[in-house]
Amino acid sequence: MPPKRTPTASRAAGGSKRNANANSKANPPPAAAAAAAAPVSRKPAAVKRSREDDRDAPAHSTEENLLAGKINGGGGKGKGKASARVAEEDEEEDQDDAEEFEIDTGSSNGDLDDFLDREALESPADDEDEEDDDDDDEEGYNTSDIEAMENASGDDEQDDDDVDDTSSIASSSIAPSTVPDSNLTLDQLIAKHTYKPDENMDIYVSQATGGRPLVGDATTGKFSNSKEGTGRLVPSKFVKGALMREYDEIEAGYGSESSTEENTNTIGNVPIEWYDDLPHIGYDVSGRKIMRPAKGDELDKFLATVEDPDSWQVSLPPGVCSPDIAYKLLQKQVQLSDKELDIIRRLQNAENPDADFDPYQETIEWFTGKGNEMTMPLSAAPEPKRRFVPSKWEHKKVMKIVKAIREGRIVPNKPVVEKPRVYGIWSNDDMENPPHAMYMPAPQIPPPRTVESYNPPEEYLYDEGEKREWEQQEKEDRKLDFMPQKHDALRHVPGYENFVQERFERCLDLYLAPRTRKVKLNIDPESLVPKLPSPKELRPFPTACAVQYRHPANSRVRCVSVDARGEWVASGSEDGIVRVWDLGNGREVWRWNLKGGPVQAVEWSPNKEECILSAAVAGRIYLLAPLALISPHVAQTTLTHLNTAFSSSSASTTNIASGKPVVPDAKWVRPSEDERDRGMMIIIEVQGTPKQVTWHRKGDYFATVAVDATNKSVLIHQLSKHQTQSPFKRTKGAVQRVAFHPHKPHFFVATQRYVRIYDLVGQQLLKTLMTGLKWISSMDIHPLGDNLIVGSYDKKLCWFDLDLSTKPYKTLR
Amino acid sequence: MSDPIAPTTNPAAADKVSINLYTRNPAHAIPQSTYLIPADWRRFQLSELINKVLHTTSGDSAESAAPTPFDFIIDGELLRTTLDNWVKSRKNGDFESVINVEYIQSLLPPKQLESFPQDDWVSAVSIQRPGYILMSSYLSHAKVIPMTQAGASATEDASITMNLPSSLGATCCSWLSPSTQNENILLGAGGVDRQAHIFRIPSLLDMAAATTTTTITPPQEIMTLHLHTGPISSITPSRNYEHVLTSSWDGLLGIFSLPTPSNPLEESHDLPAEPKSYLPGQNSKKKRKLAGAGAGGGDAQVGGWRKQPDMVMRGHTARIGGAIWDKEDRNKVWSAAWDGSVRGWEADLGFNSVLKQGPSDKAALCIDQMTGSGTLATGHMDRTVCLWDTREATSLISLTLQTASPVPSLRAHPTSPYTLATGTYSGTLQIWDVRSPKQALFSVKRQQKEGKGERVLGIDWNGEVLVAGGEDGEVSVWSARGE
Repeated sequence: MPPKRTPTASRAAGGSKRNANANSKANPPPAAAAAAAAPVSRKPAAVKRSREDDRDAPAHSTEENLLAGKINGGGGKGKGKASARVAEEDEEEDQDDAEEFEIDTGSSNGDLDDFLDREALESPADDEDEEDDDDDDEEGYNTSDIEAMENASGDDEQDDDDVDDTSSIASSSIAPSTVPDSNLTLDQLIAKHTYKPDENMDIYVSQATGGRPLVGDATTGKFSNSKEGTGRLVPSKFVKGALMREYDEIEAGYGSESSTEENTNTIGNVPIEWYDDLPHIGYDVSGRKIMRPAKGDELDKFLATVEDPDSWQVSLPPGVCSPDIAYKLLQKQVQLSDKELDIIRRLQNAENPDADFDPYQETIEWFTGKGNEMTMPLSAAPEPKRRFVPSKWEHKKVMKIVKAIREGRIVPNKPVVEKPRVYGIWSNDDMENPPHAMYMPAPQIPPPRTVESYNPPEEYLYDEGEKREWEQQEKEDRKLDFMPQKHDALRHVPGYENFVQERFERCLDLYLAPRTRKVKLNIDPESLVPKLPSPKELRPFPTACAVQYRHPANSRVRCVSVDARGEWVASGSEDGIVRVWDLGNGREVWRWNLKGGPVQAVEWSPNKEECILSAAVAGRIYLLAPLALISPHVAQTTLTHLNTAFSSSSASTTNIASGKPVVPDAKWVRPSEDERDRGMMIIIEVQGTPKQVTWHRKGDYFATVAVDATNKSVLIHQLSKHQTQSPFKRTKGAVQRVAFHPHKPHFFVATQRYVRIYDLVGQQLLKTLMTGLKWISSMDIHPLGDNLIVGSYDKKLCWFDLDLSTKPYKTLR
Repeated sequence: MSDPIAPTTNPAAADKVSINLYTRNPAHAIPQSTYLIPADWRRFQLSELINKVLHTTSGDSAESAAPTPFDFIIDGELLRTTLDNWVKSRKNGDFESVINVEYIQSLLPPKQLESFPQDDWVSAVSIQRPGYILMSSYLSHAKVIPMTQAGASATEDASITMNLPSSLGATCCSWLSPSTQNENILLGAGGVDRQAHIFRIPSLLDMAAATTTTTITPPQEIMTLHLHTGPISSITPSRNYEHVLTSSWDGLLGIFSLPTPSNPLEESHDLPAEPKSYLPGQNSKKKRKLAGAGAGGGDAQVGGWRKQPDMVMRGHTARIGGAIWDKEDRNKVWSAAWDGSVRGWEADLGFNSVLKQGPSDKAALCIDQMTGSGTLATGHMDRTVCLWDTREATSLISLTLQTASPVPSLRAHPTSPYTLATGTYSGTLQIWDVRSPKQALFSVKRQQKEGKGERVLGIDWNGEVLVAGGEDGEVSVWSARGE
């Protein structure tokens, strides 16, 4: 007997086989109650045999009982069979069955059968044992058996359901108490297995009525004790003559379904509002009316909440938790216990609702782990011969190859012979074009359009007028070089008569039209923008004072300017004196006392050929020239430039009072001879106090800004003609600064917030730069004229790129 | 070697420093060896050590000769503290490595000897003729002051004053006769008026005597050098005193002939007078009358004979700070300008042979040449003194000495190839040794007067005496030796 055989497996296999047999032989009527009577099929003969197998009986007893019940339920089908004769017949039949199966399986699984046979020979058991073995063997390996089991499973399940109530209860609660009672033997099992449902009931009934109680009698070799207990045997109502055991009402535990519902409303899933007008709210199981529970008014509710500390647990809103249905159907308040609340909480947290459930309980190793190792191989069959004998077939194959080699049909390691390459003798057309640096593929023909379709939509087709027009047009003038045609099917499309012509023209195009490779520059535009140097690279900063130009202690310097050659420094101070200094060592070399209040601005002319210094005091602009300091040539040029207009003007140049070309905006005055001796060449009398003087690059024009002169705040003076003009009739806002563009006739005017660029020739506004500053204080233009920087009193610096937008390119703080 | 050291060793000094002592002066050379010196030694002990070694090697007794004081330079820096401190501060206490110590003969710090107050800014001084100081002033005159005058004859002003015709100021001055010549001494002064003026003093000895006899032949302007269109920045005689080199703000260099005994002065104008008519007021009757009177008196009375240059050298793009003749090559002229370049010129051809273009923002204010090595030293507006190696045509600045303020004037030692004196706008006079480039040997500050600037505008140094003049209108004489 193979020692390793799980009882469940044997039971299932045996059971299923029995079922299959039963199904094949008979179709017994289902009877749930008959299950209870099943254990009566006991044979006294089996008792003796059972003692031999006593050793494994205790461990398997419950299982076997269960098994027995099941088999009886399935196989017995309510037919009580108890006679030994029947059992013997059964045994025979069983053997037949086994033989049948042997025949079945023999074809499919020879090895196994051999193995089993050998095993059977080895075991010294008697026939019944052997049969039993066969039984067991068959279930594990016979596929047809499994199929049969599966076929029978449908019936089986029904039967299982029938017996479930009793068997499960028996196994869980009653069986353990009767475990020691194990006079259950294998013979009994076999006997039970082999009873036939279509055995006549009479025997059974006669035995039952013979006053010999079959069930519950220990001496009869009880098959199962699961049905023992407090149940009373009563004749069955449904089966004639059968006995039925009645049980007491079982107190349902918490786990039972009915534990929570005491008095179920059975109205089903209908709105409870339908019962609003009625005194009852539904019916219980037995059809009695459930009366509406007494309901307190709002005041009661409130009082309840005040008095009852547990009131918050009452009447959870419907839909929140499970008491919802009972609440609605029973129309009463449900008090949730702590335990229930705990369950609710667990459900909300997606935990196991059972508080006692231990998700981390220790694994019970039934079949693995220490002590449970499988010491035996799955199969004790010896290695088949073919595993260690060389294959004859392979030998044949190899010998075939050897023979071929000997005969020379196969030459091992034969060098691969290259086939001769085929090439054209007369041309290189078949050779691949080597990839050339200047290789240019022909331009692709544009993809066909809808109008070129053989079946274009109607709107593409030409009407009569269009057709005429198309025909009248010259070939070169036609929009389309064909007339759209509509064909029902592709096979109706005629040959295209211009095909050759078009191919030829295309070839001509490709041949004649020069093609050039278009090199696309892939340059990141950002990389073209010059990077701003980091402030550290702008060294050397003027970090130390090199030269001081020391003024008298009581005067403040208002303005400074360095001349175009970088030799002299002019400064204007509040005591009204313009001084000229040696740039290199700070020696004062010349001075003019303008006697007009603080000097507001000094500015040298940017023309290197001349040496003109403009200085602004209140109401006057002086043009000065330190003639003694400059070379005769420069002095001559300067004087010529300054005095030409005096000599050409009709007014006397010597008369100061009248020696002025009368211009509306300013008066050009020639100073006295002594003053001219000192280098004070021209005085221009203007309105207001000019705060800024700025020169045009060429040194002929200069502009002044006098903020307090209202609409004449900006004046442009021309030296060579001694003319002054006010370019703006009215200025928007107070002009802070003006500047000339280095080479274009543009004029920059900075008001408090904006910088406007005017075209002096076209007399129009070109651009308005939005500085975003609060109050512009200064402005300068790059000598190349592309960039403008604007400073403000709020410590910001705007940098405009004039080629770009009107917004600052960068704002520095 | 360690024997002479042993007695002076302080037993308390735990640390010892190993040093290599060397010098570039063969007279003071001691055998090359690595000395283990107590770390708490100072300059004095080191100097004693070298003296002892020198005496033992020469075989003299230590008592026979007075010890020579030495200064010690480590890593371009003078040793002013103990070796211990130096190692701790500069080497992070690395007592292990050997230190190379150069020693030079020690110099006394400059000491002010005299002071000659002037009425206006002193723009340049010269002491090329021993015993006399030539100075130019922004009061537009050049002046010769006998150096012995100080104190003794303060009441009698023995100086000779030569006025420039314009009142714009004199910017430079120079002796144009060799110091051996005692009669008809020539001297030159350049002015803001774009002309260099050559004066002749009949005899300085006469003048020294004249202080008592009061019969002085007045100095006379004999030549006016016309070339420049900007103020003159320097005027320098050639080494044989036959030519004079002028440089100007307009970037031109001019070489003019000087009258010598073999080549007497041509008493004629080379070119007509500059046109004055453009100046306003020239056509007034009064001026015209005055001018006519002056013209009648003779040209030489108003100014010298107008001379034009023998050679004009163009090339600088900015104001020339200074120009000198090469100390070895007679025909070579060096100039440094505000464009940052130093140029070498062939004087006889007017050909710009060497161009050393430094950074363009390095405006050179003055130039001089070191004796012996031919290295050029330039003072710059960016507060540096730069040394330019002339032996290699391609090399630029070889050494930079950092000063505190712009250097408008510097003078190399007449014999030593290492030392030079500078005057700066901050009023300090500095003696530099190129072997100690990180730190000046001496730096003394001129006393500042109330209400006057401190800038030093011109210095001159003959190795013994240093003369400086500046914004405070004072010519101060210092004793300052260099080696």
